[in-house]
This record gives sequence, structure tokens and C-alpha cells, in this order.
Amino acid sequence: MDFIVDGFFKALELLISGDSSTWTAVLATLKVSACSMLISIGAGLPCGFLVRYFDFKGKRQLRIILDTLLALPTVFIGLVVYAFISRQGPMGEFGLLFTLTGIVIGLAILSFPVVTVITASTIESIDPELKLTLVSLGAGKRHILFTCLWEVRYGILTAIVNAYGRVSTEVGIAMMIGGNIKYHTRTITTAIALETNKGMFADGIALGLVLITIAFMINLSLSVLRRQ
Amino acid sequence: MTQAHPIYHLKNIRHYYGPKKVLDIDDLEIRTGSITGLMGPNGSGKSTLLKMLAFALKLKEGQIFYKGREESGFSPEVRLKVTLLTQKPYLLKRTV
Repeated sequence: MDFIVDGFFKALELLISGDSSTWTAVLATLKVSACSMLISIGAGLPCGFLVRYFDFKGKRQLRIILDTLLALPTVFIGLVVYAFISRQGPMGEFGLLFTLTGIVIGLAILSFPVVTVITASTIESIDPELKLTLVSLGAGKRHILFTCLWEVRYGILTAIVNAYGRVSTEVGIAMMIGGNIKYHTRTITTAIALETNKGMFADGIALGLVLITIAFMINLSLSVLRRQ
Repeated sequence: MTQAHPIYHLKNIRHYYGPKKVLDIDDLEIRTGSITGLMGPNGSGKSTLLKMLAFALKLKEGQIFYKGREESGFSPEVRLKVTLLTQKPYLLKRTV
């Protein structure tokens, strides 16, 4: 039991002293999660809206595919992205393997269905009178899109938080595509896995504390936004 | 003296929900200043007709003339001219 308590205090020491290996992992995590979230929000919100709001051929099949993608194992995404960006893959020439950009691609694929499906479910809950009201008020398609999204903004925040939760705690993709390279592609989660295997609990706990703090700060900000 | 165009003139309007025909209007004119009431049982097409008059529902068959001009595309400009206030209006969650 003592080693856990010792690990906790040592973790605080590592964070306060600005330990470079700890903080580079923190920065790498923040970079990849922020970039992948930007991509998945940019693509997932309009897709979620289109999938639910408009009727088109193959809509049901698309919903089934998106729902299936929700349960996609991270190691499988890692494997597919690895195959695409490795030297002999179709995107091999870009040299994305073992880079943060490669991790971002994998994480964006992971979070895109989460944002899309939750947004679609949220749009589903919209009162049908809203569309009628907007159309009869003369709103164009773009205006309808943004007004509907604004009306269900709390549901969309939930989608974003869920997707961020998946992205920030992900290990498989970061490990396979990033390669867990110290000072380069090591993220908080891959570092925790490595340090625990090495028996370095203090480093693992330090990184775990940062991860929890980030999650707490994001949820706190969202809670403040909801109150406004 | 020429008579002004009616505010609405509906010609050969037919509307279906699946195989079910809910509207069948050969000719209907609504003149400015008149009060027109719609009566009918559930599913007889009252709301559908109101949505068409508010340019919120596109026609499947027929023509609709608004102030003498045929409206087929239901552009935002024409939709701004008529507003439909439903029985349970949706209030946007925002301040003005």
C-alpha cells in the first residue's frame, strides 16, 4: 500500500519540478486529442445532422454502419491506419508512421462515429415543430442547420465530451501508430502503460493525475457553459 | 375595371402520404381580406394545406399562385412573406 502513497507524492514532485519526459507526454496528448477532436467535430456534427434530418436512399444502412463503427476496437483502427501509412501502404510516401499526425488520423477515425451518432440521436429529439417554424420563417438550409444545432447544443456538448473521453484515454492507436517514442510520440496513456510495466508507479500516477485533471477541467468548463 | 389577383390561387393540388391521398383540390381562391375556415376530421389534410399555404411543404402535384405569381421553388424570400403560427408553436431557446 505504501508504494501507492509514495507514488502519489513522487508524482506531485515530478509535475511541480517540470520533469521533461512527463510534460512532453502531456503535451503530446493535448496536441493529438485537440487536433483529432477538431477534425471529428468538423466532420461529425454536419454528418450527424444530415443523417437524421434529411431523408435519402440508404439512410438506414448508413445509420447501421455508423452504429457499428461506434464499437470499433481501437487496435483494429490502429491496424488499418498502420497498414495505410506504413511504407508499403497507399499513404506510405507521406511518412506518417510513428508521428503525432498518424496518431491524430487514428483518433479522428475513432471519435468521428461517436460525434456523428450522438449528434444524430440528439437531432432526433428535436421537436418536429422546429423545422416547420424555421421553414415558415424563411430560413435557408444553412440557417436551419445552425439553428437546429444551437437548439440541441447541450446534447452536442455531451457528444463532444464522450468523444474526448474516448480519444484522451485511448492506448491501442497511440501505441501502434505512434510507437511510444520518448519525447516524440509518447502520450499519457502509453507512458502509463510503459511505466507500470517497468514498476515506475510514481511516473504512472503523475501522468494519471494529469489525465484526470484535464478531464475534470473540461467537464467543469462545460458545466459552466451549460449554466450560462 | 380589372379585379385584383386573389392572394392565393390553388389549382389541381393533389398530395399523398405514401399511397394515401390527403389533398385533392381542383380550384381554390382565397381573396385579400376574406376569412377562410378549414373543417374536417383528423387526417383530412387541413394541416397539410396550411403548410402549403405557408410555403413550408412542397407540392407533389398542382400549382399554387401567390398574388398572381406561381410559386414552385419556395425560396426563402417567398417564405418570409407568410408565417405559419401553429397551435403549439416552437419557441426558440434564445433571447431576442
